[in-house]
Amino acid sequence: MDWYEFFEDIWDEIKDRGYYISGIALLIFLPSILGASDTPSIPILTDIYAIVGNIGLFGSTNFFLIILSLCAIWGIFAASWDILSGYTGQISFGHAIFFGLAAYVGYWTSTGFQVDPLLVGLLGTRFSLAPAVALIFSGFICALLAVCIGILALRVKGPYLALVTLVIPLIVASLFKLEIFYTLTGGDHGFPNVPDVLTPTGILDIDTLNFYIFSISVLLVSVGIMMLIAYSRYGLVFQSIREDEDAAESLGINLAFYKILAFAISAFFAGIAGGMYAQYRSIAVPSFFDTSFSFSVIIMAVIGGIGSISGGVVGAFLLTILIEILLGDIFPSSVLEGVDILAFGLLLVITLRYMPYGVARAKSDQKKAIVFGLLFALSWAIIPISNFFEFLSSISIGNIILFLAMVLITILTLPAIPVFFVSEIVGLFVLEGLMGLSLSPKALIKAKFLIYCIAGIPFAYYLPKVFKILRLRFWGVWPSVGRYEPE
Amino acid sequence: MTTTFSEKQVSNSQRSVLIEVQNLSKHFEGLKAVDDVNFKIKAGELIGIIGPNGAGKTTLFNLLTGFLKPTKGKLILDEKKNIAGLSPHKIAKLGITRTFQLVRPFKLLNALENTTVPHIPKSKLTRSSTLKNKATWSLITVDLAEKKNYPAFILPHGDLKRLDFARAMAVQPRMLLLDEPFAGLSVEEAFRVERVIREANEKGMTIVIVEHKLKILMRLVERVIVLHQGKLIGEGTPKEIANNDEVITAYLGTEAKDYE
Ligand SMILES: Nc1ncnc2c1ncn2[C@@H]1O[C@H](COP(=O)(O)OP(=O)(O)O)[C@@H](O)[C@H]1O
Ligand SMILES: [Mg+2]
Repeated sequence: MDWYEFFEDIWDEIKDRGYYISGIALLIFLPSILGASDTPSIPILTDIYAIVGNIGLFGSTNFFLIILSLCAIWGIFAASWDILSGYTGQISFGHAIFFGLAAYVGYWTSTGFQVDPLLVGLLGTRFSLAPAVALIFSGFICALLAVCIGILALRVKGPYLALVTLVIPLIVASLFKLEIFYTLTGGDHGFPNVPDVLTPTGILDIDTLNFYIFSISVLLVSVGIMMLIAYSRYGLVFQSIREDEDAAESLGINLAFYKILAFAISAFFAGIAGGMYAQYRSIAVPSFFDTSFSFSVIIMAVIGGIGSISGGVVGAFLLTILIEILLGDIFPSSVLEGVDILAFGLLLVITLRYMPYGVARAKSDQKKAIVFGLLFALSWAIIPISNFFEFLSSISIGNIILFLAMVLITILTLPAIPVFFVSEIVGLFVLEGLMGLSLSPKALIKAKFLIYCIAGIPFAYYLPKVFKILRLRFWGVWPSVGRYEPE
Repeated sequence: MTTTFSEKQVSNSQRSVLIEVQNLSKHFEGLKAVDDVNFKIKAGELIGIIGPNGAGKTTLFNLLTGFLKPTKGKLILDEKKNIAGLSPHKIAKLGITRTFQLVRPFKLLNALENTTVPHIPKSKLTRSSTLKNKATWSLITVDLAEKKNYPAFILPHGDLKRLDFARAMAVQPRMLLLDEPFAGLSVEEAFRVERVIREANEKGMTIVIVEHKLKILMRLVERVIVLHQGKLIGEGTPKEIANNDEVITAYLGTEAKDYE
């Protein structure tokens, strides 16, 4: 066997999945990097974060971890929508039905039922499930509901599922609010104190680090399962149904069966996400059925890229971080609702214009531009801080690496100095002058970061292109390394 | 070719009837798209269906494969079972499948995935590698194996016609209905498709072809059925049809030039 080829193959495989692998590694090691207590620190990275985190971009470690748990929950939800609508082409406009239902079922089963006297011997006087089991159980209940809806709406051709899913959450939400069901549903206010996996009584505050570990594990496992399904022969059948129902049916595919199957799988994972969300917020309320949940998840999946399970997760992380960490601190809560809808809409339009298949399937130069644009924005936000270079007073490997990175980025972005100033002046003028916000120092750094992102991503996209043109004009191809790329 | 043809004619009388169409009608709000049609198809036959545009040929295929429910009439499979009105996937499992008049590939899937899909419902428990081999074999039979990783949307029309054919063949049907398999193909591409059809038929598959390119059709098939305004107006060998006065006035005489 030719070892060189063997390693080259493996390297190619790794390179193809570079974004997945680094993303997963980052999620796993994040608590250590952030220096959360009770986690082993990673020598260089922890040092670097200690400096970078100082500028207050991400808030406290606990806050950052809890937001990432929320990202994970949305990631599962968006991926679950994608397996139905992106893979099978059956659009659901009301996925929040499973989100809300699972929250309630999780509450009912984990707080327990009074057992019928006849069954006391079998189950004890009060029957309840552990919160983790309740989570899976509510997933199954959601799948069951999906089968019922599917039998009604998916057996006939046409856009019936879209219509049915549009109304069902509204009906269920108003049913749950009715006085007559008060003991069962808690009426308008729902239930406080939903027990979660870590604090089964539901009364204590949740432990952020452990909840982060829990939600990231659930994210990895459930997205892993969904990806296995998507890449299996079932996924292939789902896609063939999306591409052409009639052709698939003429080949012997039982449309109703596979559509209902996809719906049930999707509902199961949406239920898991909903149950986790209820545990995260410690409440189960009728607003979980809201249309805004259903539409947010669609926008996340579309921005991330439909028809690729990972796309939903990417979209969920990007948008949740944008809303919760950046916009949430820049804008007062009174206008936040409007601003985040505006941001969603703008991002949707921009993504569909420049990356019609979403971020996860963008061209590789676009993906690189996003990653480097974020890095640029980060360093631009860090560099001007006056006491920043204080870290050089103590010499360690982390400090030196950080310093070299800064030097490199500064050199790379020298041509961007005009971009940098213009974006800062215009951006802050819009925020402070036009919108009349008075930004606190904490909000200011976030606002600047956001503005730098807007300027940095296009900059990172065009920089290599301009560089290449200049190189070809003034230098030609590299002397010996690199291939000649005729334009 | 001529020897196999005559051998077939000899054995014709011994072959069993695969499907019998009895009084089949389909009306679209007064328009009689298919009107009281009767004929039989024997196992292993290669049959052509001709008729001017709007004669009801595609509608007949839709009825045979379950995409439309007949207004009236029966489709008797193997002289026992009436399959009229069953859903398409059930009919496909009973061994009747079709291609469409316009190519309908799964656009975002690649060629290999396109031919994998029809193997899935029959072989739920086979291993993925076996499934892949079968799908690759389906592509080899239509000379598309070297393009197996190309997504269907970038393939040219001639390749898509053969891909559609390979996909339908992968169902391993007893009877295959081809709706205008030569439409839009160059002479060379048409020749390739013709060869593939002939090979499949020689292996025992019953094939029914709707086609406007009469030259190819007439040299390919052993029997021709003529439809006109939903009615069956003639049936026989290509030679008999070419000499049938009613057919000539209805179809060949007026429009043949357009299709040659
Ligand atoms: N789904 C439909 N609804 C109404 N009319 C139809 C439908 N399908 C076909 N027809 C009509 O039936 C007649 C036969 O059509 P078709 O079977 O497509 O003819 P062809 O022999 O050219 O394939 C045409 O007049 C067509 O307009
Ligand atoms: Mg037709």
